[in-house]
Amino acid sequence: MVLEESRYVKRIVARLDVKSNFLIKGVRFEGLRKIGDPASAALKYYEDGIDEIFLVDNVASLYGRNHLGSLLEEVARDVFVPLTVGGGIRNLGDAEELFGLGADKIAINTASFSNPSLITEVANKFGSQAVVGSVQAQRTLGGWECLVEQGRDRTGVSVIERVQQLTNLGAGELLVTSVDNDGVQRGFDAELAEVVAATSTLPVVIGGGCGGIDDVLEMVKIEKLSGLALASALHFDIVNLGELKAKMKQQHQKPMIEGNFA
Amino acid sequence: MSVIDHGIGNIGSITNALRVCGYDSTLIRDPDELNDASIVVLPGVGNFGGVMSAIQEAGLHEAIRGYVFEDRPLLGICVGMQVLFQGSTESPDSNGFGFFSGKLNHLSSLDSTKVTPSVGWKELIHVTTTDELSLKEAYFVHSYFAAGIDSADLISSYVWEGHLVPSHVGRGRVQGVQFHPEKSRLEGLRFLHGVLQDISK
Repeated sequence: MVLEESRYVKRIVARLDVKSNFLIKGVRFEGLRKIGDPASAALKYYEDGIDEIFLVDNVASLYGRNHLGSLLEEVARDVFVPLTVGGGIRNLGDAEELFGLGADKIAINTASFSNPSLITEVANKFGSQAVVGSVQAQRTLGGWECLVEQGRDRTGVSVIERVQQLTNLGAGELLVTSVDNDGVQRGFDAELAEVVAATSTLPVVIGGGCGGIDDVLEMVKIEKLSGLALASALHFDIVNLGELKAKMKQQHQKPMIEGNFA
Repeated sequence: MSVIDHGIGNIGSITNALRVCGYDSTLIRDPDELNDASIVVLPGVGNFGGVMSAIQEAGLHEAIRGYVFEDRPLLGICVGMQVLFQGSTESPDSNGFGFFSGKLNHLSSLDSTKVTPSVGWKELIHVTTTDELSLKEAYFVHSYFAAGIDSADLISSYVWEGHLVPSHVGRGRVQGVQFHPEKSRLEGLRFLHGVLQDISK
């Protein structure tokens, strides 16, 4: 028996940035515009076949706490795929509250720079699988630098160094967003995806820049990559999830069919 | 419907899913509350030893053993399934319930070059198939798998990096799933409903 595996089928994650109960989107983390209702967007993506949903409180880090509790509670009532919540999670108590309201995972970036043990504390209590190390990557001449506060502040830490740190701290997954490509819709940063996936022993989801189905199909070829995060491409109806899933499946099956006739 | 609330689980997700399946859930935090339970769901995420300690600290360990040995229905989910086995290399000092023979090993013992945890949607391969217990694909997130299990207990498996890994086990009225039916879309909820019907027959 040949053990076939859907390893080329990547998870598609919908990223919803939220500010004062509005779904928002910017370009390169700036110029944020209100574009809709986050709860109805989450429900629509779920019904269309999304694999996971990532809710981000876009201003939480700045004001020191996450405000997504009631939205999360509402989404968790109707949406039965994994829910990740990020933005402004400062301590174990914040994380516990979000898990209690229906989060399956929490994503941590900014707070982990001033309080590195936060990831370890949450992982010790809820397991590594419940902690996503979030990375906002901006290109430098020699690679990529990590940004915090939703792309507002620099850290001087390279993304590759950060991947190792997050792994050692006990994160169970990495979500790497290209700040340069975010909202631009001209394709993912494939080089970033390849370098991080090759370096990491953890599952990696890459986000930022999806401008159409072909961009996703291109990334699916990176075997070690675990998933792709889409925001604008879904919010502005550029990518139809049903069509995307069908094409991913088709692309996955192609080599097998060719093999049969060779 | 009763859900064991030992404090380390996605209780909210489980009760939301059960509500859609048509069950109102009661949370069980005290051994006496098991007396009136008709079906019990044992959730759990994270660490094997952490979940076992939490069960012990809540005084629920003996009560759950007694409940199962009275041939009453129980479904374990994720680490809630893992603790139904004898133990885990994740927490060598913690014993599991031992309802199923076998121990949990890290996936890297199968292939240390691959990424763990195993995360995502996987197709299930059924050993025994009834409509109620079949599910095409499910959402997994785990690093440890049940090894050395009794083949009679195996209901379905999935393929991780070329290796068959148990995804659903059952014996009598006790069943366990490594994946998350409560996070596997409507099909997952339908499966959850089917399993709960099956174990309470």
